[in-house]
Amino acid sequence: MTRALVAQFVKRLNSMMSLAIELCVPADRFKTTVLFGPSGCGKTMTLRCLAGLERPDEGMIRHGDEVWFDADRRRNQSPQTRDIGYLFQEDALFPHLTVTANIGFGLSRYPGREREYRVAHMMELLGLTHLAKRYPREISGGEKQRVALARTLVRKPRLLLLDEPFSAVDAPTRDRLRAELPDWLSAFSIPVILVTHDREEAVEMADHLLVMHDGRIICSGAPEDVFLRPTSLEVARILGVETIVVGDVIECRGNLATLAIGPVRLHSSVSTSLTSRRVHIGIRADSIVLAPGPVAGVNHLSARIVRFHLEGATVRIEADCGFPLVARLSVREWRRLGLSVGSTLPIEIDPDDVCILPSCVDENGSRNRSGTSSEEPPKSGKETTRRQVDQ
Amino acid sequence: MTVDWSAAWLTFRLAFWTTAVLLVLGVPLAWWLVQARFRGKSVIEGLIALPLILPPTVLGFYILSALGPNSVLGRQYQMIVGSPLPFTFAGILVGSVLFNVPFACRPFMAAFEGVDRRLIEASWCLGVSRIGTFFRVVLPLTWPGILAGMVLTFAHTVGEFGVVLMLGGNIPGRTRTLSIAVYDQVQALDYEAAARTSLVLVLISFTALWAASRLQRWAVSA
Repeated sequence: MTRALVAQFVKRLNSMMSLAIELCVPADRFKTTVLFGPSGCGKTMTLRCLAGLERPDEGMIRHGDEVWFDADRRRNQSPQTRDIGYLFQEDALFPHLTVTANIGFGLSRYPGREREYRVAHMMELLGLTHLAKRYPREISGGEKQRVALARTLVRKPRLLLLDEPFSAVDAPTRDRLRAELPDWLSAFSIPVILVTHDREEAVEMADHLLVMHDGRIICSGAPEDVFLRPTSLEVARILGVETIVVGDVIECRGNLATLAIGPVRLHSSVSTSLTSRRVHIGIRADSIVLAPGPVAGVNHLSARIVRFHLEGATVRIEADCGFPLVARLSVREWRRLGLSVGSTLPIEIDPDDVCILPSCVDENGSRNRSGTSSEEPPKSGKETTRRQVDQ
Repeated sequence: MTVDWSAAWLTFRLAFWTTAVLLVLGVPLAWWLVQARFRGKSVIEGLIALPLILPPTVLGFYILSALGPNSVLGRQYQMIVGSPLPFTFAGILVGSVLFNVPFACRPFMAAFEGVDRRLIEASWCLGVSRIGTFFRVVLPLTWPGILAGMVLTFAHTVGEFGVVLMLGGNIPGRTRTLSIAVYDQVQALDYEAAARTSLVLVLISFTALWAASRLQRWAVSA
């Protein structure tokens, strides 16, 4: 029987917002589940409820056979007994203890020599041995997070909860930590739940992705599926799909639909039947290709460049091809093609990348979410307004 | 140089025991108030601060009413111990403890509030109990502030007058502290003795304040 962390709870945060979470995470092997969403959507609060640092108002949280929280039976297990590891966003190292003492802090149940051995082994694994006698104020941000990670891992917890662990360090350190983290974690076979608002981090680290919005999980699946085929308008917005426009479904033959966006006609591959005529359409900027020549079966358009921004190694292009479109090119391609404002270039979009985005409510007015099966209570006024606009 | 040594020794004993009692009772109270989130909290915080503005004689009077030989509690005490509470060292100790609650608890609370809550939560998530967290994380980070509160309490007790007089009755050797001795000496027109006694009091107070401020500065820099 596979052990899993099952959580289904509600927590009222204030008069405007409440949290209603349902998730199921396998708890017996190394797997990274990422909770992804914009700031303020309730990701950290969800993590804190799972850790036992906050108490939900209703529902239950179960880890395998252990009941961690049950509102009906008034049971709430303290974080100490849940045997979890929690990593804060930044600097929760004990300032009055050395790095060595910090790492060994949770090992008081082991005799001195074994504790020393475990701490030394962990420091070696994470490359911290040279910092053993230093104090937290004497080491850098990236080193501090590594020490914090060592401190939680050395106890071999059953579950690891990471709250935006890389957001407070600089970009090069973040990239390095992100690359090293999976190696460390897989060595321990500890399931991980990671919270982040960084898109790249979510895609890079997740085996399973949960997209959160306004206190709810609105989408879940493998990162490629979630990103390549956003399942709703809200998900597309949170994932940062650059082009979102409104169009009409003209024709639907088999699994190919023809869409009209203004004067432009686009083909989109669909797997489900469409319920409404007016739809939102999302096109990711990185799915737009410069057409070398006429290829059958794809959408061909002609785009006129309106504006462009240099963003590091890529150029973000705002173009007009009958409707506003955002595309991305590498800086080298941009220079090679000698493009500038006003240039016209042929582009190509695969029908798989033209995504029809239902909004979170279908025509019957009931919740419509992929990845989870139950209904959710009606939400704040914000949602109602959006519903009206969409229909 | 004759200084009323029995008064000095009594004053020292009173200050010492007041500080000790408030350390044992005040630290848990202060910690609980900083940790807990409930609706009546500001009422309790107000009660703690009350002796700061209440006239000491008023507080002395209320304690006398509540614990004197005519009260329920007072009679219970008399039955157990054999003598009534007023006019004894125990009596002035009770008054002194109650009067010094804000001088101990407020520095304690300030010290505890300065601890980053994440450190406490991190300790919990590492499997350390709440009490273990208090002794291994909170106390090492706050002890200068707690010490400052203790020094302040000690110094304030040395200077007490109204409460001790109301509850103690100025009995030499038993309830006649240095501050009351000064009053007596002035009443008896023995200004020399009063000057000597006052100097002793000023020196003690000054030393205590200096020590408390050094500790506060140390606590901030740590």
